[in-house]
Amino acid sequence: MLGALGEELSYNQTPLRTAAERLSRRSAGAARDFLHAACTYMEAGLPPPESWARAAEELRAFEKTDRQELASLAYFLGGSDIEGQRATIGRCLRALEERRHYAVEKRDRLSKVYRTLGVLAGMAAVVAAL
Amino acid sequence: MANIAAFEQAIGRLYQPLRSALMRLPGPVKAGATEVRLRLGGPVSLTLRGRPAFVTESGRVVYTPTEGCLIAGDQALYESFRALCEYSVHSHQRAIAQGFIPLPGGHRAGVAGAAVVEQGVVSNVRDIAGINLRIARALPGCGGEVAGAFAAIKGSIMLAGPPGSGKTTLLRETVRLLSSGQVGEHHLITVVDERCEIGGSLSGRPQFDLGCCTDLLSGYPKAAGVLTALRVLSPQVIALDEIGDAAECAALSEGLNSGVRFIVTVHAGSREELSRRPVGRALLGTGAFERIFLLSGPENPGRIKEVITPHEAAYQDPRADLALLQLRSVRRGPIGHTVQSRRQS
Repeated sequence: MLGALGEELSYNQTPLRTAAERLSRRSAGAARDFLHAACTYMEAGLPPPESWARAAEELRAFEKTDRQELASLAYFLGGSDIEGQRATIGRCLRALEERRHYAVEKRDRLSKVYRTLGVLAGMAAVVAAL
Repeated sequence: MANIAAFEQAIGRLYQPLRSALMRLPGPVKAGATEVRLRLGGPVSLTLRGRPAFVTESGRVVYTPTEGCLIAGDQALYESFRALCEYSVHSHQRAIAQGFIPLPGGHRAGVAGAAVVEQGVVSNVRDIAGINLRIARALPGCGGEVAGAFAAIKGSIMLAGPPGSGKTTLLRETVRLLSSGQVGEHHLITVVDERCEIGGSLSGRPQFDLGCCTDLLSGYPKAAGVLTALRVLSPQVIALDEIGDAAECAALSEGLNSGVRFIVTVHAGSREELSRRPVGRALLGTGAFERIFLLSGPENPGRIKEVITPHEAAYQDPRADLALLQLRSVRRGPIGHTVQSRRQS
C-alpha cells in the first residue's frame, strides 16, 4: 500500500486525499480498511493528517509499534515536495520492513523452541507411559 | 452578497483562529476586501480600496496596527500554507515555484519565502514567510466596453493597469462576452492561462465561465501556449494575461502573423510607464494593437480610465519612447463624463 501511495504522490503528484480514495478502491484486507477509515474521516471534515493518524490508531490488525509508525507518517505526508514525499515514504517502508524481518526471525526462533519443546514433551510422555 | 460569499470562500482554508476572526468582519468589509495578507509575526491585513487595513482579534478593522490586532504566528502561517495546499504540497510544487497556490473559486494565494534555485531556475519556495490571498470576484458587465470595441475593430486590444487594477477580471469578462456571442457574433477564443488565474482551473475544472466558445490552456507557459493554440486549436482570438518578456512578445508576433487577434494585459500604471517598459514598446512595435485601455487603479478595480488609440506614426519607430504614445485618447471625467482630446505628435 505504501509503495503504491508513494507512486501516486511522487509520479502522479496526486493530492493526498484523492490518492487515499483511489487506493482504498484498489486495495484489499487491512490496507483497504485503513484507507477507507481515513477517507471517511476526511469526508467528515477532518484534515488529512488527523484522518490518517486516527485511522492508523484504529488498525487493530497491526501491532502497537507498527500502528505508531504508520500514524507518525501522517504529519509528514503531503508536507513537502516530491523528493520529500519519496524520502518520507521510503523511510517508513524501511522501518516497517525491519520490524517485519525481526518478527519473522522471532517467529522462526520461537517455532524451533516450540518444536524442541514438543519433541521433549513427547519423549517425556513416552517415558512416563513406560 | 456575491462578494461576501467570495471572501468567505477564499478564507475557508485558513488556520481556524484566523478564519474565525475574519468571519466576524462586517459584511461591507468582506465585500470590499480584495486581498488578505499574512506576514510571519506581523498583523493580518486586508486591502480595502487599495489601502492596507488591519484586523483585530474581535473582528474589527483599524487602519494603524495596534494592540489587539490579529497576528499571523508560526503555526498560523504553517497550518494555513498546508491547508491551502490541501495538505499536498507536492501537488502544487510547480505553482509554488511560480509563487502562488490556485484555490477553488478562482482565488489565489501568493506565497513569499526563500527561493530554492536549481540551475538558475526557481524550483521551490521554502521558509514560507508570507501569504497574500487574492480574492477573485466577478464584476459583471465590466467587459462590455472592451468587448464592444474589440468587435468593432479588426486589430488587437491591450489592457494596461497597475497591480490590483482588475486587468485579469476585465480580460476574463471580455472573453466571456465575446465567446458567448453577447457582443457581436461568437468568437473562437483560446485563453492561455499560465498561472490559472483567468479560468481559475483547479484539477482541470475552470472555476469561471469563459463562454461557450473558449478553449482553456491551463498552466502552459505563454509562449508555448500560443504556439500550441495556433497548431491545434485554430482560434480567432488568443487571450493572454500579463505579458512580461521578449519570448512572450515573440510568440505573440508569431500569432499575429498567422492571422490571429489578441487581447492581452500588461502591467503599466500610465501611458508613460507603458512606453518606458521594453515589453510595452515591443507590443506597440508589432503595430497590431488598435486600442489600449488604461485602467484606473486598485481603488476602482476594473474601471477604465483612458482609451488610447495608437497613432500610425507611433508604429514607425517603436523606440521613440513617449512619441509612441502621443496618441488620440478618450479621457474619462470623474462621473461618467468623457473628454475627447487630440494630442499632437
